[in-house]
Amino acid sequence: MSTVSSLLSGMAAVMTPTNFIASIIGVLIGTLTGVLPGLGITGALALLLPASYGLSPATAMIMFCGVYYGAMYGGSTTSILVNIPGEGASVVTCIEGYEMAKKGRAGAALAVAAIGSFIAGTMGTVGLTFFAPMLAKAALAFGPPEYFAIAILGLVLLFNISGKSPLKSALMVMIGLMVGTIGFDPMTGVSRFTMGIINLEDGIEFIIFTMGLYGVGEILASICKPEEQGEMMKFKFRDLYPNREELKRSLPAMFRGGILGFLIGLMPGPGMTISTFVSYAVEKRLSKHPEEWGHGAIEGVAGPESANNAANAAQMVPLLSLGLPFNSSGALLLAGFMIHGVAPGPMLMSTNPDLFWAIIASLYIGNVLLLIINLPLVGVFASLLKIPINILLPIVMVITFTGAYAINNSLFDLGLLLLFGVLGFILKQAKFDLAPLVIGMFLGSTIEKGLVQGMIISNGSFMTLLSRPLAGTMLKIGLAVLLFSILRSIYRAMKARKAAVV
Amino acid sequence: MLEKAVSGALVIISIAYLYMAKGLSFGSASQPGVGFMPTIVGAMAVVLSIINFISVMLKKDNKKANKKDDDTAPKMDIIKLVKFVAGCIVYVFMLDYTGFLIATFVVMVYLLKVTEVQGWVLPVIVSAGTSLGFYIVFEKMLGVLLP
Repeated sequence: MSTVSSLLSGMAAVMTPTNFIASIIGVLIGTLTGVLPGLGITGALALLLPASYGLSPATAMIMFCGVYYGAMYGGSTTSILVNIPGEGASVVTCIEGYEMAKKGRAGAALAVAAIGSFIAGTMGTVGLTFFAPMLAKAALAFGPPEYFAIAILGLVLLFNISGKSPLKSALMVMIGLMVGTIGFDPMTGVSRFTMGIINLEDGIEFIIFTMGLYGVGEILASICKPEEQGEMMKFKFRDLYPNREELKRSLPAMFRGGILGFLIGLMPGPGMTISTFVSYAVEKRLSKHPEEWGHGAIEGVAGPESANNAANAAQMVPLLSLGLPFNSSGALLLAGFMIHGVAPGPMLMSTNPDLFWAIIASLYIGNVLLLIINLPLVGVFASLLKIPINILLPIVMVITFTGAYAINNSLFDLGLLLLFGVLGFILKQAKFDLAPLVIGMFLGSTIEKGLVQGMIISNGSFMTLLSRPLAGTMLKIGLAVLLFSILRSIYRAMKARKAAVV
Repeated sequence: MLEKAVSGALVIISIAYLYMAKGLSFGSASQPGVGFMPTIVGAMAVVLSIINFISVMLKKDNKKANKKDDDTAPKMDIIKLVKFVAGCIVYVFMLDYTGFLIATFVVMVYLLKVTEVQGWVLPVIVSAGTSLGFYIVFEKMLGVLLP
């Protein structure tokens, strides 16, 4: 049977009433947990696993896949509306999305995020359908040196994502890396920089860090501005959706984000979040409206939101074709498969083709359902901004605290959330950029694991790392980009000094 | 002023981090220890933070420009900020003692008064609705065990 006819039979299996309802329930729960900060895909799947015992394997898998996709769709909502990223993959959306919301274009940003998620999610699913086994094998070529190299390359390319002071950005990356080393050493389990605080031994949760810096920091900044109290946003119904110009600018970004996200998502580890940062950097570089970046450029929402959904689909590739989860949500999805006696991997397609194709088909149908559900919700979510800001701020504060508590059921996390909120507020007032701090913290553990394991494998020779084809190429590109950036900033500084003298 | 203070604090934090990292085993290039990466990162942070601090301190203070900025920049209500943060700190402790519903209700009323919502009826209704609404969504619908 050809791929297309197998897919069609999978579609027929999903369209049975029970499976279709399961898909709807899955995408609804996924959207809800995506919208609520803190929970994300992992939280949603963890909550749903025990509830799926009574279902047939196919129905349960279809529901899990709905949750998996739905959570990524909903993730952008709080980033755009209140500058609180629900998970790592939504951090970048805050930068332009929240600026758009401040200008009364929250609806347009939310709609573009939903459309981009649909387009890129479908592109990712097409990639998964036709290239899964081949791509999974390629992804396995990555070893510790390659993880290290890609993380370093990512840092070099992204550290000055906002284009402000390179020195301050580099310092923020280092501080982020320092925060990332708090807790158990990933290799030996030795506790570091915890100052005897037991709760710090597991390290600092990335999402608590970002929710604090961005979300709580923004709330505190708004509290300080007396002129904003009692204000509410005014917008008309037609302002809720993107206009023709915005759609025209967003579409290429969505397709680029889809391709980038899918390729980056194939790498083990934090592909989804990295894909959003890379997409943002690419769109910023290609933009014909450089003056809008940092002030609400729609491509900065369309690209990253598309990238994270395509990466989400790509992370299903190794799971379905090799039975290997490349991230925590993949691991939970795998647990869901196992609970129902399904072992994903190379044998799934040959031993249980009906189930395999039903899962793939459910991803296509889930994407369509999510677009149908999310576009009308744009108006509802955007209307939240009509609430006077002095009422909205305490509500957002409480939902941020509740979402943060739900991650680990820890009151200590709430203390950290507040601490990072104050830190984010102070750094922002002192003109330090938060994005490099977040990138440093996020890539810290990948860099450390890759570096330490890579050095052991290469017997302490950095040249051996450079001689590996993939890792070496990435490190050389990173070095070239770094040198170019340094020379460019020296040239700019000299030019500015010359102009000042004249 | 704040920029200078933060830049100075970052130098101190970086030095303190590097000092603590030196207490961990560095290992060797072929057998990196637990302090391998922290020492490298700490050293780089110290260098960068010192360069940043010097460049911030050397920035020419154009008093006229600063005064103009001060005149046009929005004034910050620091007292309100302190009251808001204090409310959040109390909330974290209250959650442990009184549980989610009571703590959220009480702190919401307080935060709404801090943000100058007029009267008592609206703050009480919003606080009751928020605490009950989030309780139903998180605890009842999503199965999260709230304190």
